[in-house]
Amino acid sequence: MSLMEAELTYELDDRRVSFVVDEELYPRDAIYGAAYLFVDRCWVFLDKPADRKVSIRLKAKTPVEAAVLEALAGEFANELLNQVCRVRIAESTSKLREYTLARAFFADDTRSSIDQLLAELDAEELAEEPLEIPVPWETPAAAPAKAEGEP
Amino acid sequence: MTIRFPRSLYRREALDAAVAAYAGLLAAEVSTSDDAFTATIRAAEGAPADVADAFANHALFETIVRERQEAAA
Repeated sequence: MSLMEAELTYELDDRRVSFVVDEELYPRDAIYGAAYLFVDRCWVFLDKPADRKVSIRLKAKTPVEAAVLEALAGEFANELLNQVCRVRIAESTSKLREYTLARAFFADDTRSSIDQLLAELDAEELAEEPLEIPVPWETPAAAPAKAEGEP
Repeated sequence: MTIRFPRSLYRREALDAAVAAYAGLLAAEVSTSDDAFTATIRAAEGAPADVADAFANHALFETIVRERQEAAA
């Protein structure tokens, strides 16, 4: 594959830039994901010029220079790649996520593990207070006697 | 003007939602063929020049939202 073929090929037309992507490389979810992020920046339109091909047309909302349109196309292409990664990772980890969720929802040892942690805290011997400062709530007998008639 | 929305990329209910959302700015009739929905659009007086683009943009947005809702269900 030559360098020219590896680059994104696009067409510029007034306020529009359009390019065609292959659904073998860019799944539909990735195309939707990228388009979703651009609908507030420009007018996005998808078309189907051929089987397994999707044409993406981005139209600036205001008149812009060609360089801005080229940058827009480049950003969209980058986002497409990002979305492809997200889709692939989501697919490859779906079983793991299902398993984790199922375990979180249906395992019955959640309560017992919390109880176990509390019991460990209760049994734990607290470190000696290095400053040995007496605290009133630990020595109730040391509290001053109440005067008669005091509630 | 007419806009052709491929059925494999756009949803009919998304187009209907876009028609409802832009009712004040344009009148649109949507017809269905084997491979596409065709929206015949007549912009209202005083509507912005890009109203058809905005309409198509909205249809895409609604399609994506519905696709995601369906995938999550």
